[in-house]
Amino acid sequence: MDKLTPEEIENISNLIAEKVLKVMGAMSGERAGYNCVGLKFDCSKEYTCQKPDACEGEFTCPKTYTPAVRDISQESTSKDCNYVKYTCVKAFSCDDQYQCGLSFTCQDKFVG
Amino acid sequence: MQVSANLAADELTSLIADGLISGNGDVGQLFDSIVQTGIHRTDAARIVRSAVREINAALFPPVAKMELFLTEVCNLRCTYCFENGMDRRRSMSTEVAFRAVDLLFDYAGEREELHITFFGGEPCSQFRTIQAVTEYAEDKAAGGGKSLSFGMTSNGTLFTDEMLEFFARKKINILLSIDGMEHSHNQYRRDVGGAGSFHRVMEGMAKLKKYQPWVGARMTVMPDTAQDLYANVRGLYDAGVNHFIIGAATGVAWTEEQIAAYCDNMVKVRDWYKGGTFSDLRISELDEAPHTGTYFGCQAGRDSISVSVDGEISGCSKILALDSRELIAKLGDLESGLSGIQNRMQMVGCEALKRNCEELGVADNFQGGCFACNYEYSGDIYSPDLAAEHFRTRLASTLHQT
Repeated sequence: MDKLTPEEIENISNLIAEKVLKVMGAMSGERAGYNCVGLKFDCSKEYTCQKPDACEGEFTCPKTYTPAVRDISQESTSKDCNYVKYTCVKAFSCDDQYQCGLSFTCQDKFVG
Repeated sequence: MQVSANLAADELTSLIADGLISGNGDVGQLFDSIVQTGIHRTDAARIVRSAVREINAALFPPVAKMELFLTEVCNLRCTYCFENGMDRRRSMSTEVAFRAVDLLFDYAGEREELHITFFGGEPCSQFRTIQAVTEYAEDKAAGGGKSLSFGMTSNGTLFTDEMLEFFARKKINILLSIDGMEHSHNQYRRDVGGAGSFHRVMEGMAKLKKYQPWVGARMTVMPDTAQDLYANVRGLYDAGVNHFIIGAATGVAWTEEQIAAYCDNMVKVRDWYKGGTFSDLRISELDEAPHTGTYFGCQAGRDSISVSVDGEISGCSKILALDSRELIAKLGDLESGLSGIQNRMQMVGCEALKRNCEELGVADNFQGGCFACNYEYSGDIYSPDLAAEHFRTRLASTLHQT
């Protein structure tokens, strides 16, 4: 059999992905359910970040995301979210830029 | 093999989709089945890799962090090391390491800040690979509009000035493994010949501080060194350690008395640390807020993955080390990508772990613990390590009450 063209490969790949995603119930905006199972976090509701509102972790949220309140001008800020950053409550801050470069010192959550 | 184009595509689509849905991350048999239909092996790999990437992008967070398990070789034989089951001879080729970096960028999606950790074994034994990978990854980051940071965990005994100059220039942050002062450290962190490694680590740290003034240390506390934990922290701080990550050894039995000694010593550490005004000291366990995370499980498989010496992919290095030849909860490999879709879904979603924790009444605060520790305790990464939960509860209670 001749080798497939790049277009044929792409088409077949897309069909495979579509079929897998359908089976896994991840099409049509249902995909949030796979990531949002945090104990303290209900994806069906609005979630407000805690300070300092920066984290490497990500999650899906079907409704709105409200950044942590830092000043009055940001108090009511919210935006639509899909994959958005949120604040880990275990985050901590370093004193200066040099120390903040030590990302290894926090296994999974670090705020510089 | 002569079939119509549409029929071949339908059959092929079903074959691969079914294989991915029911698979466990090991796609060898799936590739064999595809090839039997007359498809070239290279085409099969391209199709699977492309489909798998698309599926992951739709279902899961982007991958932003990668541990490169550069080698299983180590010059030390630490008694408690979670890698003691490895054969200690295999190392990652530069070609595999480059492909791993390619995969990180392929799965990074919109994430702009990526991180690579060099892990082992002792990664310094693979310095040439580190050099090549660092520069390769930097080039890719520059070309792709991403920022990149590096870290490395080392036993500190193999440093040369050439290495340290390179690590400093490339901002590869080194985390040293030091368990305490000489008596505690040498009990468990010994070389292949059985000799303690403390003085070599101290020499390594002195060299390191010339290039990286702020030195972090991972301090593993064993049951019979818990009574010296406070003295060890004070001693290592005096010796130049600036940042401590303190953790009780897992996979070993702790008596109630030993747990009490650990807790009492952590109280002393806290009182000393919080009672002073240290500009040159951080202790992670005391800086972080109480454990009330926003999701179950950990970062493993979520936005962080680990690549083995032969290019297989796990959620983290500790899970990988549970069995480096038959990966537990395998997430895929460098040829097919994160093809263990069901495994990644379980790891990211943690539904089984959450359910098991709830049934045992430890869900509220434990939040799943460490997958690898769960496996060591229960034989199942999704069944909670109740010993760790007991330990954690006692420590939290002691620190809260005193």
